[in-house]
Amino acid sequence: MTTTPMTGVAVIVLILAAGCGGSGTAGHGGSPSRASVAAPARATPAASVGNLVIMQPYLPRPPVKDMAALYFTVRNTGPGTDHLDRIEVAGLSSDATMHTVRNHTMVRVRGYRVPPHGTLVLRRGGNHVMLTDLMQMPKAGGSVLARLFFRHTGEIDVDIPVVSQTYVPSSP
Amino acid sequence: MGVLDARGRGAGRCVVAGLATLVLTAVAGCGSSAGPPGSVPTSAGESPYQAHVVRLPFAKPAGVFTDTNGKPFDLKKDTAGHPTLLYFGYAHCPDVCPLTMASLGAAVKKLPEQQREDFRVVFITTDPRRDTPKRLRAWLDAFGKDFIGLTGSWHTIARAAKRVHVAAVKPKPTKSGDYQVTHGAQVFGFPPAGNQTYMFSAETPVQDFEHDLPLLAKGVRP
Repeated sequence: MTTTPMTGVAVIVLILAAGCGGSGTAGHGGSPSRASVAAPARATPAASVGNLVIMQPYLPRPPVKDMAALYFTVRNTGPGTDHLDRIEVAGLSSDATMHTVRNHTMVRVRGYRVPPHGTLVLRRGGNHVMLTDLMQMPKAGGSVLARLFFRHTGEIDVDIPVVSQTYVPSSP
Repeated sequence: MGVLDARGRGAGRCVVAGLATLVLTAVAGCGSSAGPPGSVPTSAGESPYQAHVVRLPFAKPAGVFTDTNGKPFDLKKDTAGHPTLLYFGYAHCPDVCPLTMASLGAAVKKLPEQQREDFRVVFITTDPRRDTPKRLRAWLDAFGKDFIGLTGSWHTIARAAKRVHVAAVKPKPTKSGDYQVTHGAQVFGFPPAGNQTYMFSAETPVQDFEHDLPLLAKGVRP
């Protein structure tokens, strides 16, 4: 055992930025090998209603049946703010809750704001919809139907592809 | 995506590395990092590793845990001589923990058989109350049947985490009925011999792990 170089509560917050070691693949469609991890094509919008366009929905195949997370991006092309108030994934779970990360802590939220002429992004380590007590195990290559309830725009049904556990979108 | 956003990208119900007293910033261009005493951030030009890896002057943490068979597991002794990967997390984490473990699982599966058998992938739960050995096994089996899942007393877990400077915060329910648990923002790699620790971001892309694990197995320095 070596001596601990620091005393007290010591934590390493590792902030890795692009440009190092070849792993900083920010944007640009990612590396070819990453693209191969992706199951669905995602250049086209998955769904749209009014001024809202749902992009890049995905649900990584969960390790066990009691919990999963799903992600998507909402683009708002209109001048008004909207809010995602509720999500139902009736075929998979009766419990879909929205979460975000604040000060490195995951907290449950009542909904998400969709800014005018802006985007709401759900992604790994940030905003995500958590599903618990899944009715069945989602299979990679399959999909689940989600219904998104927006305060002003109304409901949008989105087909969410089930992707591999290691899937990371090339750009959020 | 990739490691660009490693900062603060915790996970569902996860408190990531709170109470930070040490911020290690490896910015673009590298080389300007202020790590723990003796830490050596590598840069793209020098390191044969594809991931951004930081060398730390820590030995593998000690501690006697309980494995998923309910048997004692001495972290130092029972992994001695083996290339080892260590991650602190918990099995009720829907977001980042499964991505990290799946990436390790995919990368380990691509190793040549001999290296694969030699590798030890160790997951220490930061949520011992909910992560029973049985629960840990079921969860880990989704990533690697031979992954080692460890639990133990909170004291043992926190002490091991502290050795590698992960702030494991004792899980507690929140007012809203939510449940906050720590997971590490890092995966620690230990070469078969020596007293160094090679630190990867927990969100290192799978192809970087695939590239780098054979190097770790051979004891190549990042």
